Amino acid sequence: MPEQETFTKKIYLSLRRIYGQTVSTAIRWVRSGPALFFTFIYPIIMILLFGYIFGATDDSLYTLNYLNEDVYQVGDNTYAFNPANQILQNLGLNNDTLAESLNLKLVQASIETSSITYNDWMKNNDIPYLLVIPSGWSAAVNESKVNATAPQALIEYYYDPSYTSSSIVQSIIDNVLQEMNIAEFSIPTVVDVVASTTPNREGLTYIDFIVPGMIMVTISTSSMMGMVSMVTEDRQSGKIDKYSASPLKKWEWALSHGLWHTCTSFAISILSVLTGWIVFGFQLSTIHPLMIGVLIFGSMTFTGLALVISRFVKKTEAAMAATMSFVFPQMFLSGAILPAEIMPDFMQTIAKIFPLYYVSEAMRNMMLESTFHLAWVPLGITIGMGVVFFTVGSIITDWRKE
Amino acid sequence: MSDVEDYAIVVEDLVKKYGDLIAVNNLSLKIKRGEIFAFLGPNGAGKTTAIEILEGIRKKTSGKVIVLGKDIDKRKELDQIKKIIGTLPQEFNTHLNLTVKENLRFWSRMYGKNIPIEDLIALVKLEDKANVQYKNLSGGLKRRLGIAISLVNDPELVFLDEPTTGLDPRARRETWEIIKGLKEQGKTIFLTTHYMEEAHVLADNVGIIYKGEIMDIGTPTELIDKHGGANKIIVRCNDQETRDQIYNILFEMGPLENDDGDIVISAKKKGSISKVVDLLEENDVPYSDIVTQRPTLEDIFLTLTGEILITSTETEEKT
Ligand SMILES: Nc1ncnc2c1ncn2[C@@H]1O[C@H](COP(=O)(O)OP(=O)(O)OP(=O)(O)O)[C@@H](O)[C@H]1O
Ligand SMILES: [Mg+2]
Repeated sequence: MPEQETFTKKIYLSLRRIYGQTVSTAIRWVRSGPALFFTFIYPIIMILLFGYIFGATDDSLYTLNYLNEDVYQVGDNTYAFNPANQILQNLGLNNDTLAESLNLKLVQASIETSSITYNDWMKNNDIPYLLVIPSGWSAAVNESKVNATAPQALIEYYYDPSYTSSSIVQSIIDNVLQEMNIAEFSIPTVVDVVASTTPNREGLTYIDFIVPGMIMVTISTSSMMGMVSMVTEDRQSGKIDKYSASPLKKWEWALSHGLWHTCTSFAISILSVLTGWIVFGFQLSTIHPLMIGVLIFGSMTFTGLALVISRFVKKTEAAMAATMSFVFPQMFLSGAILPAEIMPDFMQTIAKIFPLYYVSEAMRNMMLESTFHLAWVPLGITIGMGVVFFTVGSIITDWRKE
Repeated sequence: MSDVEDYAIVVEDLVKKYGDLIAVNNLSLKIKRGEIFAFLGPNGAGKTTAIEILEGIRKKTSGKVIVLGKDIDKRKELDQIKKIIGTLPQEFNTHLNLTVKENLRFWSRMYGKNIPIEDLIALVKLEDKANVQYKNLSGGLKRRLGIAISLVNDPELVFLDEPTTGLDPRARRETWEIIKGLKEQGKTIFLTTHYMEEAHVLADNVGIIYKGEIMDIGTPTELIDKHGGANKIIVRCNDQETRDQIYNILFEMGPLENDDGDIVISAKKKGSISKVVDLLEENDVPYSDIVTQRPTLEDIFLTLTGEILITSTETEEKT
């Protein structure tokens, strides 16, 4: 079976080359102090920075405008038990401690409903969400207490889906209502949602958002910059000429670097999660095996992109500049560290151009258990991008000189 | 077929154009297995371009290249070539913060067949520096490690692009010894240089390359015999008056005056030297010295190209 033998030998030699490349990259990297330091210190600093700046302001209360049109019972002797008042009180009206614990601040809206629609009023006044208790609601609730066939008592929630917090506020209202349903009414009371629903990240805080985002930002930055500088440096030092004249294959070389960047991405993730946890109490709800997939294919996406860039821009300085002019806009525009939802529509479209958007969405939705179901699409896109960019990058990399 | 097998390298009508610039023009050559071949030429002659095409790392415009009996245009054959050649690029630096040993181990892993790293270190006499990081080696030692790296797979054919440029004369001589040692092991060496002394000392055959064209190929002696003309008889003297006198006396032998103010006569015919001496003695001319000189590759270069070859081993060129 000589055929068989050469085949196994081939695989063995190929693995040996990949191993040799990866190990030498690891040693080089560990010995080059600054690269090591900055790769690891970067996510820590960024999480601390963004966590403090945005985390603090975001912790402030959500301002919920409400409109109680259910006013005819004011002055009634059942006033205190009037369901409309009750729900407002349960949402923290006139009770700052309760309001704060719910993260809400209630503000009474004054809307000339005869001349303007709720939606227009919200638009004109930049109001993200509005709770409307329609007239007759309390009566409807009371009616359904005694009459099982009475129609549902509906409460209306208007919101602008471009605000992340819309869904948070909605879920707060929802929870309060459910509690009331169970505790008091034992009737089907529902929140009527006007306008379309958006992906719902219950209880998301900024730190939940920034930790996975920053992990992927760091991975994208360090893989791209690291890979581009390595390729151009190797080209200038004649190492690529030697590789080109040796049995080493382009894909083996690319793979070993992809492998190495995957290893560092694990370290970056662990470090970031720890920082978020120690400083801000970030809770990683699950450690799902598929997260490894995000790290692997994320690293491959950016390593592949780096190969594409260094294929066309050959001088180190120019290649680094080209990489920077991709990495920085991507960092801010992709919604990795500032939620895409708070951006105007066209910016949200722009965000979706960047690979980092999908990669960080996948990681984020996986890290927060409640949103795991939302991870599948970005995960699929991440895997696709990883395979495509890496393959294209390896194929178009040309060792043979013109 | 056996004809091809005898040769390590066969090149036919190789052409390389960079846009309008013709870097290599219709180059043809055959290099026997086991010999040291040197490409001698000034900066920009096309040495690196040519050697890189032979190594299979640069695309050619046209022509045929057979290395160790295999065609570089066929992918499978090129893959086989890569396993049995060694290369030292002109500008080469291996991993800066890996040690000599680690670097050799790294390059060894890129190949299937290896010779022990200790043997390589001993070959280039880097025993003392085995655990020193590459960036801390001197220029000469870096180059020597480069040669060792080109040998990790025990290649049959080694390409060395300017292995001694930038080295001091002593380091250069040490490198020559290493290269001679490789020949003794039966390896074929293809090197480029712009030091004529290097070509003369090392090479079995020299190809003089200029503006992308081979002016001639042969052993150093052959080239000298062919193009260098006869030996030169140089008569030295101290003053203009004597010079004129000598000039007149030797007029029938076609005297020339060189830059140093000496009279130079070409010793084309047998007995020229004794004739010069006799004539000078008869006329009692107070010359200070008579020497004879064999033409060098320098002279050949001058004859072939009409230009002076830039560097000799003494005038140091920096990297
Ligand atoms: N990549 C390239 N693109 C365009 N022109 C090139 C390229 N590489 C080399 N040349 C040109 O081709 C000619 C031959 O260059 P080459 O490097 O082969 O010379 P060389 O003999 O190796 O010179 P040196 O002794 O300086 O190394 C030069 O005129 C050079 O400017
Ligand atoms: Mg050169």
